[in-house]
Parts: sequence; C-alpha cells; structure tokens
Amino acid sequence: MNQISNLYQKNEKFILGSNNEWLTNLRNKILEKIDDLGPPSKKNEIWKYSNLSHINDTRYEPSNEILKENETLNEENEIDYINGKYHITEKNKKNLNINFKDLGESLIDLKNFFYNENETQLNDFVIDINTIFLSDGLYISTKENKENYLIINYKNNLDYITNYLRNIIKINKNSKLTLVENFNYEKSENNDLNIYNNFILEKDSELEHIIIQNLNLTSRLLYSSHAICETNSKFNQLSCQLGSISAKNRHLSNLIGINSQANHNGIYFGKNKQYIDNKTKVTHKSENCQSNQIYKGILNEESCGVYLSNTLVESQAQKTNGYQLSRGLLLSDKSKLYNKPQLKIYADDVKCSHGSTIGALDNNQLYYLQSRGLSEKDSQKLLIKAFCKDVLKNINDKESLKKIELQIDKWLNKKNDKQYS
Amino acid sequence: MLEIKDLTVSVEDKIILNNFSLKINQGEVHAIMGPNGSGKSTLSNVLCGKDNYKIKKGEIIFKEKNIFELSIDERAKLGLFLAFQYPVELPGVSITPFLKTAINSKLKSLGKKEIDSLEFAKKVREASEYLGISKEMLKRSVNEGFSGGEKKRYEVLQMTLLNPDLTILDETDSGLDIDALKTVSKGVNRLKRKDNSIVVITHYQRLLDYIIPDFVHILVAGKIVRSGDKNLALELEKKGYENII
Repeated sequence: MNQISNLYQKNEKFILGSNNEWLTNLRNKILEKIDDLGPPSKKNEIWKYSNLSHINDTRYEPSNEILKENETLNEENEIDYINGKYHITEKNKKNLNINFKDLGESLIDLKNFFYNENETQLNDFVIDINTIFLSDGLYISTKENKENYLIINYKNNLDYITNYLRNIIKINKNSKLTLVENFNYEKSENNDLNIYNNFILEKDSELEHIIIQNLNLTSRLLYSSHAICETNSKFNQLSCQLGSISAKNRHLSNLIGINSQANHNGIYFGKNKQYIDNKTKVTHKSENCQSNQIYKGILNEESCGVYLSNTLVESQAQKTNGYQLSRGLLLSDKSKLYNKPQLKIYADDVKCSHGSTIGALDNNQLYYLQSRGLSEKDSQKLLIKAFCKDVLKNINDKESLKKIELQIDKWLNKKNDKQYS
Repeated sequence: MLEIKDLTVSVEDKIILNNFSLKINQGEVHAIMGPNGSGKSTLSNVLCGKDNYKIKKGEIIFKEKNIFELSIDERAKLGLFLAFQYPVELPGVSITPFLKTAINSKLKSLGKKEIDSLEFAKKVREASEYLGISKEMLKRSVNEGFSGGEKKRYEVLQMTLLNPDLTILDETDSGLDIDALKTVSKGVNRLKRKDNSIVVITHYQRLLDYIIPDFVHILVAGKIVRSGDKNLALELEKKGYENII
C-alpha cells in the first residue's frame, strides 16, 4: 500500500463526501490506479522538468480551527477561504446574482464533474489527489443575463496545514462574470494548497478569470483549472504568479460550442530557488473557435520555470484560429526556463501558429534608456514592465490590473540591491 | 565644454580611435566627417559611456569633469545627449511616460522638483507640433514601427525636452528624405544657443547645408587628419575622401 492510501485510510472520516457512496468508490478506484502506476515520473512529458519532491511528498494536515463569525467583513461579491474553509457571510447570501452552495451538500448534482463525463475529471495525479483528499469547496452559479464580479481570497493564519479545495463555477446563459482569485499566505508558513476549479460557460456567456498568486516562499501550490466553453462563449484568463516556492499550474479549456473562445494569458516571476511550472492546453472540438495561449516569464537568481502549451484541433473543428506564444526573460546566469509549444491538428482548414523565445535583457535597449538619464536599475525595471505589457493588455478588469502592477513593482523593488545582469 | 585628449580606444584588440584629440567650446557646432569604419560611431558611444570599448589611453573632460568616472546616465544628466544613428525600438515603453521619466531623472539630479504635468504636456505639444509629430505617434511605444524619418524626429523631440549642453548627432541624416532632413535640421537649429554645443557626425555634406558648422574635421582611421571651416565639407564633397587627405 502506498503512502497516499495510508494517509487516506487514516483520515477518511474527516474528508469531504466520505459518507457519499459513489465518491468513496471513485476514490478507491483512483487509489488502486496510483497503486498500479506509481507516483509521477519524469518519463512522462508533463512531469519531465518537474520538481517531483513536492508531488511525492503528499501531506494531509487540515486545519480544525473554526472561524469566528465576525472575522470576515467582506462585501456581497467577496468571499474568503481561511485555513482551507470557505466563509459565506450574510452579505454574500444576499447577492441575488451569484448563488453559493456548499460543495459537499451539492455532490448529488455534481457527480458528472467527478467522473469523466465532459472530461472535467482529468486523468492527472494532481487532480486525483485533490479528489481523494478534498477538504472543502463551493458550487457557484451566476444568474442568467447578468453581469457579475466575484473575488475569492485564499488566506491562512496557521502553519503546516494542507488544503484540498475544489470550486465548480457555472456561468449561466448570457451572463458575464469577472472572477478574481487572490492567494496570499502572509501570516503563515509551510502550507500546501491543491486547488481545482471547473468552469462551465454556457451559451453566450463570458468569464474573465484573474489569478493573483503571491504566496510566501515556504508554501507550495498545485493549481488546476478546466473550462468548458459552449456556443459563443468567451473565456479570458490571466494567471499572475509571483510567490510560492513550488507552483504547478495547469489550465485547460475545451471549446465545445461553435464561435467559442479561450485565452490563457500568464506572467510569472521567479527568484531565489522558486520553481514555477505552467501548462495550458486548449482542445478545439467545434468549428470557428479561437484560442490564444500567451505566457511570459521573468526569472532571476536560481529560479526555474517550465511552460508547456498545447493546441489540439480535432477533425471536426474547422476554421480554427489558434495562437501560442511563450517568452522568457532570464535575469541571471543560474535561472532556467524550459519551453515546449505543441500543436496537434487533425482538421484541414485551420490557422495555427506558435512562437517561443528565451533571452536576457537587450543591452542596446538598456544603453538607449540610460543615455536618456535613467539609471541602470530603472532602465531594467522599465524594460521588464514593458515585457509584461502585451500580456496584461489582454485583461479588461482595471482594478486587478492596478493590483498586479503594484505587485510587480514590489517584486522589482525588492531586488533593488542586486543587479539583473 | 568638451575636451578630448589623446584618446586611444580599441575593440577586441583592434585600435579604433588613435590618439584622438578635440576641443569644443560653448556655442560651437563641430562636424566630424569620415568614411565608413573611421571611428565616428565609436567616438559617440565612448562619449556616452557604452561598454564593449577599451580605453587604452587619454581622457575626456566634459564640463570640467572626467567622464570616465561617470556612468551612462550620469553623463546624460550632466548634459550630454546622443541622437542615435539607429534608435532602438522599445516595445511596451510608452513615449510620453518615458519622456517624463527622463526629464524628471535629470531634474532630480540637479536637485530640482519634478516637472509639473501641465507644463510637461504643454512642452511636449509645442515641440511635437514644431517637428511634425502627430498625437497618434505620441501614444505609441518608443520607436516601435517608426519609419526612419519618424525615429529621427523623435530623437530631436527628446533633445528638445532634455535641453542638453552637448548634443551629438550621429548620422542623423541617414534614412531621411529631403523634407524630413529639413524638419529635423530646423528642430536642431532652434535649440542652438550661445551656451550649448553640437557635434554633427556625418558622411555627407548635405546635412551641413542646414546645420551650418563652425568647424569641420575629417576623421580617418581613428585620427583627425584635417580640420577647417564649413568650406572643407564642400571641398570634400567635390574631391572625395581619397583625394583630400
């Protein structure tokens, strides 16, 4: 029996949905699979450059603390997960346009999301352990024909805890949601977070999803998202990764309805010995769909980045327009970035392209800026910010952009005493 | 204003400037002409502080300071400005905030307060109109997608706003049609004062019809081989480099 099975058996009664028969059966099947296949190996493409110590050191140490009622003072469109437990306030409940339900209480309606129907339950180790150790989650849905804004804050004030969270978010017909997820563990250390979000974009709906991850450098993150985009829907995502000693992000979209669109944008910043691993994949399953996967990384000191992008165009997905771009900026000799763009095209009338570059700051650009009176450090900062610009311009939410720019400034200014050469 | 004494510079062990000396006083316009590979661009880059050049001997005194002790930005703040032969594109660096940052860097180094936004906008508008730079162009990234003429106009716009004591125009005429050449020259001439100086680096006499030099120097193999007044440029145009040395 492997370590994960041991952990599960020891803690089974505390895990969300442990009294649910089909979920227990599913968990047992997954555990058998892990027993058969063993833990992830670098022989598998998606783990090739991964820091497996994080994956192979799976922990289950949830918080037992119960939050006092008055600890969250959020407005109706803002909710918190604190120490791995969601908190819905009276104000949240009064939000008429967004409905929040406990994931555990909604399991009976959500079976499809756990099994492989619509491919929401992916064959992936990270998602498998999320399903096994699920500690909390929400089923969120928007009201049809409405425009909404939702902020989810992930906070911890306890050390050495693990959170396995899952949110299933449904954007109903002709509605629009801007979802901002803030990850900030300022007050705690050595925490592990495994989060899996499912998005269902119904016909004519729109989701702008912004992730601002600024966890401390003792915390580890495994983040997976999967979006299903129906006819005429638009999914626009920005993943901004600044923190965490080891972050593995995987964002996938299935374009199942005609004229649907998925944009995966990302910027990531590495320093010290940070490891930042990103993967995006868009599967075109219908005609006239569009996708963009644009990631940029800025890596300093001994940090390491990985970005795998993938566009899969199925045979029926004619008139597909797919674009991938990965650019990396290495600020030190010891920083590393592995890029791998992939295109798999089975339709014959498509327009797909990809680009990938890795390099240092351009000395001629630095010289030009300095010759106008900007110091070397200020010139470097200006060029790094300019490098991020064409990713950030793809996001409409001005408030989030301001916040991200502020975080980038903080990241750049922390490096004041060290040159980026 | 500027004194270069016995300057010898090499790149990868190849001597580019060889015992080069030049003195420029306030209010003077000097033209440095020379064939390809004579060291013209090396001179401008060494003055501005670009690395990759090995200073083997000599000194450069600008406004009574040894500029080898100053970084690139410190030289710029002291009043040195290079109008680049090939201005680099800076995608994502918006023109207007960049101009403001550059002006404020200089003001800060002089112990002055930052430029007022309204005053800045007025200065930019006035200088842009004079140089035929459209409002749309000012909304773009620095030099990105600019034509040769637009890049040179934009260099002169920066020169206007930074108001340097010594300007080096490095082959500003290259890539310009005759109308753009006139506009750019008009922009430069407008900035000529008794207390500033200009160095015009060029291959051809044609730019000197519009920016009239007080002195013309011919640079060959890293050395000034002849100096004279504006007529030297005319003579050079007629005879060519080979016959005038």
